[in-house]
Amino acid sequence: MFSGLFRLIRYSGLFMLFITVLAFPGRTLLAGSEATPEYKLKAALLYKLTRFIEWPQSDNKRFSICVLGEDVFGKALDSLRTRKVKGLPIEVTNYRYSDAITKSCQILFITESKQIFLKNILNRFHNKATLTISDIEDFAEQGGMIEFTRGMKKIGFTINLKQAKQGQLSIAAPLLQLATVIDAPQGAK
Amino acid sequence: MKSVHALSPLALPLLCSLSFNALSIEEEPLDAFLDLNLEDLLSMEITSVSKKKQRLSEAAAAIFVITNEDIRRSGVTSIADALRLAPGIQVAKMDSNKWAVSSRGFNAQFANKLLVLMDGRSVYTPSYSGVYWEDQDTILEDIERIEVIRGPGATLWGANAVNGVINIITKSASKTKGGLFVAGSGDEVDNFAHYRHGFNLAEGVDGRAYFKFKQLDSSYATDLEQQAGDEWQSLRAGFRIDGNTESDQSWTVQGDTYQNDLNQIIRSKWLDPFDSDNSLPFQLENLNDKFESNGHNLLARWENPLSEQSLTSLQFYYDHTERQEDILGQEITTFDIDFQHRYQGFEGHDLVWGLGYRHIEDKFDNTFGVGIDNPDHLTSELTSAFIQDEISLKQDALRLTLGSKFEHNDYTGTEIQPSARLLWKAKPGHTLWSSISRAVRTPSAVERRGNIVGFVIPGLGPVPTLVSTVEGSEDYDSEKMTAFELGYRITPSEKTSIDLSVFQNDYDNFLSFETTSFGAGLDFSNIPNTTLYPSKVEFDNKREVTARGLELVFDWYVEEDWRLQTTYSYIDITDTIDSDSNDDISAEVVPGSTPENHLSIRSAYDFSQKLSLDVWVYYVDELSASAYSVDSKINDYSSVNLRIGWRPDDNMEFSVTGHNLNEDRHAEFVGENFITRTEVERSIYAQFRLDF
Repeated sequence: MFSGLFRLIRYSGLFMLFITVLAFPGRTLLAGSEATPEYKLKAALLYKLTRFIEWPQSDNKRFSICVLGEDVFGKALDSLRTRKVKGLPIEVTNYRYSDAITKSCQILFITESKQIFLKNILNRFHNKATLTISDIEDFAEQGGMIEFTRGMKKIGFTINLKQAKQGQLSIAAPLLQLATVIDAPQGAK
Repeated sequence: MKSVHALSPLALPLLCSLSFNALSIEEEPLDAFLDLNLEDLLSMEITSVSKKKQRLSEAAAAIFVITNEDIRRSGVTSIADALRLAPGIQVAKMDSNKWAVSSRGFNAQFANKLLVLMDGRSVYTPSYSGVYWEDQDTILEDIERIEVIRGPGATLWGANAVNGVINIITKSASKTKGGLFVAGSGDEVDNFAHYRHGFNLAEGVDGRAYFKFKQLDSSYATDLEQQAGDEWQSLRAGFRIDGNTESDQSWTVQGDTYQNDLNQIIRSKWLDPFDSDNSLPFQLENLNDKFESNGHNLLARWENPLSEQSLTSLQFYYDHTERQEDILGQEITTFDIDFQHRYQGFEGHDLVWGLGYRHIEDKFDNTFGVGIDNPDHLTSELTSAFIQDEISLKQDALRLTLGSKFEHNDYTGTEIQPSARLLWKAKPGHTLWSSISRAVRTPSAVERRGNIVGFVIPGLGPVPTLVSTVEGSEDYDSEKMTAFELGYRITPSEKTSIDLSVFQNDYDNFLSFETTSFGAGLDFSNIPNTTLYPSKVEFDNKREVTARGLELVFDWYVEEDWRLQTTYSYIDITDTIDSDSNDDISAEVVPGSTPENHLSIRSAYDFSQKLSLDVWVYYVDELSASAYSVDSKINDYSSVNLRIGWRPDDNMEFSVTGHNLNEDRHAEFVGENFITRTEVERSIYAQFRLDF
């Protein structure tokens, strides 16, 4: 009984493929891995934050979001690619190490995997108009600009205003009101 | 090995996945949130338990993680072959449908010191002590990662986790939404196709179902100088459902069913000389054996956070396997229930304890050649308890983990398996760890009451027929091991990481074969003289063994798009036999079945987002003897493997993979006398993958 079934499957392989392609034309096609809900929310927050931040004038053609380290967002950032910030289309790039970042990033998200190299990475982007964001513990105190913090169930912000000012970024008051604001020099901790 | 992978905490084989209660976030696409205002986003709840992920770089054990990406890019088509990526693991193909896999030495088809779990379900066959690798499969694309732990894991996982534990972890159903279709064809992997569909079943509940078919070609038979007739095909289906409740509980129900139709050539089968139906020389050679292996399993797991510091997990599984080889039929049914509780309420302590119960029913269809006494119904029970505490010292820079497993089995009674581990984060990027642990390998049904015919010497005239057997013994005890390990992990730069571990494993009560009686048999080379032959050989424990070795992993991002991973393993095995032992059967195999040196270099290069090239070269040292019953020297070999992947679109990939391209064929392992010696051939296959 089973050998017949096997034969059926063997010869129907191509047919199945054909059906599969026909049956789902034009659906949103997904690739990469699905992000955890936590990073889905953080991806939405990344996008939302841009409304409250002013970058210095530049002639960038795109709004560049750079993710450094582990690919924590997976597919979550894909839907940002169809959106715009300040009239510029969003471009999302993943980097495995900081040396590889040669272009300018308006936002740099540093994943927890880069914790031990944080000091070097922040040095590299010091005084640049790059909004540094991370969920590394004490990120803001160590000289990062915006830290995603975790309460029991919710995500919050700590903003290091001093660092943001040094990068000539201005942060709108409504965002500051939602955040814990500190003024720490780089490498304070 | 990237240091960035979040691991299931080593301490928690069961409580392994982060559970989220963000129903809406989990289900809705991101787009739905982008138009909410910031306050609304910030008020969304994502998880109740702010669990700290344990990072690979912070585990006090020799752990290597094979990721989904590693599996895809290596082009392997089986779980056993994926394990070739890990250091310290010996993987050898015995024929088209059999693998010998071990950790830190003593490789065999029934390598008995390695515990293997699939999503928390043990696939180690206790009656025969080993893993039937051809039966362990799933859609490889749905495997999230394979955690390979070299060294003892007995404190958490119990007996038989002596030399290592392999945790095969599939993705949660929430991460496999949509369809996946993969099909391919090649010369050794003849044809395969698998299909998975994942969907949202209800609020907070996701599921997936899969179906997989593969058909594999035969290997080359060395002695017969032709194809080995060991082609096989496999049919498999399964599902997994994951859910979260509003009170932050999470649950998983999953199951699989499979049927493998296999072929093998039995090199030598002895016939009962006292049965008048049989005739001289009471031996069949090169017998074609077409057999079937099938099974099904069902697992349910429920995780319940009692508070922020307290999490319980309850797991139940049922597993049934059947295998009808010409030489022996086996039917094994397992029920297992496990409870765990993790408590972090005491400052500086991470406490885990658990209770387990396992009920195993075995049935054997004996033959003259292989049998188990009292075969109709063998029932065994295993009860266990464990406790482990991870203590933070010096602001978490130093961590001491103490624990022990207490286990009771029907054969050897209570076994205690303690361990102590120390981890020191010397400075950022530098982690030093060491451990002392004890583990036991409990006897299998074969070792206790097995009966295997070694050879038959027909009688003539006054000389009676001699049947020589290898028999299990009720006195056969657990093999015991004390392990000393030391490890050092360095991340010198963002681009490089180095992981070094050294170990010494001291075994006592190690398996020996003692000849307990001799019989006179006709000496066919000098008729009519007779010679004394061993007529009864018993399993015994009269050996002490020491294994020493080191494993090194060097991971290097040469460029953003080019990763090089090098692993090297070295092992040296020495043994001494007790003075009252007369074992001359296994002396060569104990040190001889493990390659002393093993080197693997893997390059993963992306020409662009669309085009990738993977090159994987590995060298495996010679084996002086891999089987007791036959001459089984294996030459060292190298293997060159290539894979080219092309993604015209994000959701679609074409790939061509070539394995063992550097030579027509090579031998990797010779098993016991039952199956004919085979060689692995060069193979090429093409594959198409569609995510939708």
